[in-house]
Amino acid sequence: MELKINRLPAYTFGWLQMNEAVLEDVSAGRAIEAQVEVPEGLSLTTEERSGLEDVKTGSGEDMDKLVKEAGVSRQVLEVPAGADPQQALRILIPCEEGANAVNSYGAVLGEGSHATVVLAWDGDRQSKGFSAAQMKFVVGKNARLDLVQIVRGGEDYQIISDVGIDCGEGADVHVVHLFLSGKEIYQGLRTNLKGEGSHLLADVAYTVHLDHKLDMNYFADQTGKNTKSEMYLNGVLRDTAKKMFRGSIDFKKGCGGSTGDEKEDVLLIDDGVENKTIPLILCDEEDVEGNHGATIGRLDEEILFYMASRGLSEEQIYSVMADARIEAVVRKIPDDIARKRLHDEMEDELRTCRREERR
Amino acid sequence: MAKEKTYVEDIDRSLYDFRNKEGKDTYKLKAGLTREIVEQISDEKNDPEWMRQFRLRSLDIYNKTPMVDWGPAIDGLDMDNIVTYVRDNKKMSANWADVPADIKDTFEKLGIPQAERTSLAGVGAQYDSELVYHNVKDEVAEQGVVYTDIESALHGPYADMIQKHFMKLVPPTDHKFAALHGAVWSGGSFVYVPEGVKVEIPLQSYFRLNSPGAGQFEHTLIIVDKGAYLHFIEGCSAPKYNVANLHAGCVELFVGEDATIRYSTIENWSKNMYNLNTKRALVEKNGKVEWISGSFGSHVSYLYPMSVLNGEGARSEFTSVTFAGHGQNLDTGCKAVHNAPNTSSYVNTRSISKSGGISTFRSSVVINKNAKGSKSSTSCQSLMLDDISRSDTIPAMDVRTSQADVGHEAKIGRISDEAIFYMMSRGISEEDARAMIVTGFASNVGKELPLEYAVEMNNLIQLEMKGAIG
Repeated sequence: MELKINRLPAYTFGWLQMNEAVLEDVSAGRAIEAQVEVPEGLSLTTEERSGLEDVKTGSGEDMDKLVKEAGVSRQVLEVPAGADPQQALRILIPCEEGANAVNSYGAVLGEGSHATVVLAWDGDRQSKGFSAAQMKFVVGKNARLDLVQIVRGGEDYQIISDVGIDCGEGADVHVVHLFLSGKEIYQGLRTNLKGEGSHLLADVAYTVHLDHKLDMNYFADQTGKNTKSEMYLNGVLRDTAKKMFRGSIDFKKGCGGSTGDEKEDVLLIDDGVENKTIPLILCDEEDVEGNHGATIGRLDEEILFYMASRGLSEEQIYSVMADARIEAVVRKIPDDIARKRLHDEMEDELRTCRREERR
Repeated sequence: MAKEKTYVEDIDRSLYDFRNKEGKDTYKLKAGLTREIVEQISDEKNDPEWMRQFRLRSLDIYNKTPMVDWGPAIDGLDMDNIVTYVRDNKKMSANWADVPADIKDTFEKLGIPQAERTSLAGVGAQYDSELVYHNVKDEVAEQGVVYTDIESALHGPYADMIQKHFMKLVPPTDHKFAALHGAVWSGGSFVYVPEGVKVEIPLQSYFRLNSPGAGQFEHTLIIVDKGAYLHFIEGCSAPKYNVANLHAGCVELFVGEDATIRYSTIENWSKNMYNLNTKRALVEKNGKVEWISGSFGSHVSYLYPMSVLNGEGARSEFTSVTFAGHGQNLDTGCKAVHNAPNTSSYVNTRSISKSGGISTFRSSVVINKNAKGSKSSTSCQSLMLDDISRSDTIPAMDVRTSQADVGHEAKIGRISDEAIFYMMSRGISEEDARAMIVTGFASNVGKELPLEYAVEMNNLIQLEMKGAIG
């Protein structure tokens, strides 16, 4: 089937080819067995929970169709009102050679509860395959969701990560996204800030290299009063990598007192890279404040001068600054185990790279 | 006691909203768009054969090209009801005294002859489909500057130059209404500024669409040669009718090496107008294009002047203000394509929405692989004056070299209560404070215009903010 995903909520000039991502010849696969660690006292169920089905996601309706066609059951975590499990729900989807996987997850957070959910893709760096996962959340009144997604796919892996979150009154959502490897990565994130005072904070870091491609669609749909969205992206492009970022803040009628802020800072290391950025603010309400900013290009002259005065070559400066961007977001992972695991693995990779460079 | 002034009304258009009845001296083709109509226009204009074929090919392209899947709806525009060619039976003149009385009266009311006497180097005045007046001051003409209607240029010594450049920057394949323009274009100006000549005083073309249900499709072709300078001002208005009118003009600017053109537009079409206009500049080495744009009128606008920076060190600046009031959906912005090293583009826009108006800022900045060392900076700010209006910003950036610096910032919001409070604490009334803030918000364009035009623009805003707050 043909998938049209990551659509902009308002289209623009067609020749820019930014309105959506089109994936041809995608076949609906089967659910792959993921490594799952469930917080103590809670369990995953495949029983449908009310409200989840209707949650709109960042990748859009075609992802719903793909999940449906694959016949995959959604695995749902239910967090009772007031619960605050100490452990995170950790899901590791293996990037197995030749896989054609479609997985579906969800979580319903009761009033005043808190949950941390970590979804990661990992596996052999040389592997080839396709993996799509959809996650839907309903975050209840005054509940808090910490969602961490880490994508480290194989060099020939195509990954679609699609998320939709419905927020109740006072709900607080913190998303940490790290895109570290994978041939083609598509990320959709739609946060439906329906409840008064609900809040989204998304911290995103990416590094895209070789001829790899990252396509992102972040959408804050603000319908509730006094809602707040913040989306901050930091990234690095190397070699002939391609990146597309669509970021939309949509102030709907009735969301008075709301604010939205999105910023993207992209460091372009090599000359063959392609960077596309389209940050939208759609505003149907007077009493709001929306800001977006983007900085794309090389490092600031002052930073270069300062670091060169400390004895670093230009190449070393760019390398250090690129690593720092990722590390800054890794530090924001609220789950100690996931953070330490990722940190250690990145350190190992860095050591290996440096050994290879010395040779 | 006077009623408390609490809201901001629409722009007072009475200055522009007068109409002349079509009489026996008016010649118009039947409504619609067919091969026969296109051939009739071609016959009317005594086109050379290449132009006749060009029109017919453009019509074919129009019929095959779908409407875009983005932007405001244009459902109210039915080409079957649009008259593509209307003219007065009198020929164009270089003397206002020879212009038909009712048409001359129209331009007098708009202040065009007065402006020509006091502050312009030349004027072209188009009424419906044809120019009725065209003149350039002797001292400017003596420098070798050519400013004439495009039909005359097609048959005169510049015929080859027209053929070489006409719709080469905006080909009919560009989009549906570029194709329409190619098929039925009529009127407009041709300007050639020779190498090294600086035209210090602006030239102006003014377009007036009087006929209800008609379209205006003027073509402006300007070539500014190496090291030359030109400021060109374009003005447009129309009376309001309860049927749709269409404006699908085309502007092509060729800016030579080290040359500069400043292209200023105050667009004030009536609110039944579909303004589907295309403007584009090709800028050579170290050349510069400056777009100054005030968009106040139209029912629906699609307007994105494009700068193609083709020579090393070429630059573009785009400064605009868009004011969308009741019944208006104004989709405006700009495009910049960096095609050579060390090019730069600078965008500074303001948009204001009120009384249910919809304003969209839409832009694209493309920095190609060969544009190393290029820079681009975009700043767009939108002001919402009430809770029934809408404002969107849709800026796109496509960067294909690491050797570039691209910055973008946008803000949407309302007038801050703190600013109003501060000004009121200094003895200024709330209404005056709001008017001052809106005028100041739009000053990015005003300060770039010649004084007379800045005054006209500020009057438009003041009329709205003062006279109509009720």
